[in-house]
Amino acid sequence: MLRNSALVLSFVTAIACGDSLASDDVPVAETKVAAAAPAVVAPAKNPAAAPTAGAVTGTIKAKGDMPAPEAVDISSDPVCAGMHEGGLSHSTVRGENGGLADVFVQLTGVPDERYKAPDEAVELDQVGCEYVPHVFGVMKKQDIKIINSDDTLHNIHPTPSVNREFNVGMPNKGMEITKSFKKAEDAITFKCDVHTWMKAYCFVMEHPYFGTTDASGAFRIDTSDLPDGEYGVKMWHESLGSKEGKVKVEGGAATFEMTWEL
Amino acid sequence: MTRDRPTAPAPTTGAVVSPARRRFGFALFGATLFLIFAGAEVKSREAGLSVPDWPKSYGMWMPPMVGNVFYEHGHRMVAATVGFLTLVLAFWVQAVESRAWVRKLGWVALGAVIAQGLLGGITVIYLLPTPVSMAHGALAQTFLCIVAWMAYSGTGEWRRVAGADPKAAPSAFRAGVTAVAAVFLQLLLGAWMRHSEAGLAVPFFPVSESGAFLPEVVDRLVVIHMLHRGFAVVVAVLVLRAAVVVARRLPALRLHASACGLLVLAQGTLGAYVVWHGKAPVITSVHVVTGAALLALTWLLTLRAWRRGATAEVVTDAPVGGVLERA
Repeated sequence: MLRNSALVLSFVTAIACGDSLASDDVPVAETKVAAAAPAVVAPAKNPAAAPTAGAVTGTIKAKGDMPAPEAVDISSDPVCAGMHEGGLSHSTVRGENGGLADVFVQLTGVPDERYKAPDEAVELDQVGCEYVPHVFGVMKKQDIKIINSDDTLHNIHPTPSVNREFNVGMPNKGMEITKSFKKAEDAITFKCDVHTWMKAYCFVMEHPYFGTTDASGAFRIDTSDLPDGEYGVKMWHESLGSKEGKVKVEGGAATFEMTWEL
Repeated sequence: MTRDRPTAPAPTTGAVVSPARRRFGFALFGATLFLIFAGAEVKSREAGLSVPDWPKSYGMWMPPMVGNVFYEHGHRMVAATVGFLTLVLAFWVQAVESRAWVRKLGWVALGAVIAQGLLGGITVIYLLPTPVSMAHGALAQTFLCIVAWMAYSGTGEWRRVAGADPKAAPSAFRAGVTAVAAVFLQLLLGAWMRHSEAGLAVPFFPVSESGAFLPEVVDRLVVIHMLHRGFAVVVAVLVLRAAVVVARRLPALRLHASACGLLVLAQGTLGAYVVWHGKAPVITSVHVVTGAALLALTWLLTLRAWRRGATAEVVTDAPVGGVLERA
């Protein structure tokens, strides 16, 4: 819980930093600095109630019964088993209060510009023999800082289609490596071949207008520098597939609501 | 001027391959079969990249055996053991074996096991490219046959039966060779299917609930899968034919021939079980190692048939430091 809170706080900080950068005073012509990534924030009490200035906010809700999490056999690694004394249960479809977590949301039809990746790296942590976050986005050439917070060994192995595959061993607790992808690509699977239940999904984006829903289904995409207009909204969930919608951005802000039938 | 045709010396009644070396040869054969099972487990459990470096594992010679590291590093440990045993056998035969071709076969075995280790490393470092992984699988089977050949060449039967039935042996040998070639080709097709992730491209056997032989969409993976499935019928026919031919022509090999026939039927059943159980790792690995055993058994049957039509040779396992009688 503490770690999750810290992660959320770091993302909020990153978003704040991004806001300060995303002004009209961008030094490089036709180059805009991404606000932040991934744009996951702490859930607002009612994020869809009113547009947030400079952001597209919203909630992805789930309609229907959430499947019960299934127990995962993690006994092959005593360190992992020790961190989950009550056992580890997984469900790809999860969320709280009717919200759907881990939906990657991106705007489509945004101005075709050359967006500059932020200097801040996105963190992908291996903690409790799970990936945190489970679904995330980065801009192309943006650093991904991969951390091993576990006292056991992991290998980090993304399997992209258009980017370069790599496989790196991270045997020690506290070990960090930094990687990036050069080309835009959807839903690159990151896996640990040691612990086969560990999976994460990474979207490599051309632009900065994307985010991932939190446990309550809420998301926030910084659009303070996005011209007003109607944009597409593309949503992806690892087991439910994809959906599309539209959103009208006015004054750099909009709200978006969508319900996913389970 | 007439050229004298070389004549083989009569079978010796003197020194033969020592029991220790015979046992060692068969132990290496057993270890190799277990190594193939361990290798199959690596693929069945998708553990091939759980150790990203080579030859060390996470920079260590002995990493914590957690998760899938148990299968990948365990495979490396068994492989190192087989490599060491092969090294010992290769030098052993150089020291005591009278037949030049066996001594050469010892070096071939050693070269094969070294090449196999290198292929294993390459496939890990280059993230399991299908051709390299297939070559790794194919060389494993070839190595098993070499080891089986060496082990058999050291038996008393090898010495005793040379030229025992020159009339019947050739046809039995030809039937055996055809069966061995078919099994080997089938193992290649299996490796292609396995490393192309086509093992469940046709997820039903023999037909779907609606009675179809093929899925609605026939793509490349379905074609690869069906090649392996379809050729299994050819293999079964050729192995059963070889078993019948050998059993009829060489009654002394009837038991061995029957075992080949039974094993090919068992292997087909195991293939069906692999599909029915959604590629459950242990069943899949047993299917792989049974394929290897079928190849080795058919190969040995072929060698035993060939031997009965071959000329005799001097077989001597001279004591170390003793005088070698070179063939």
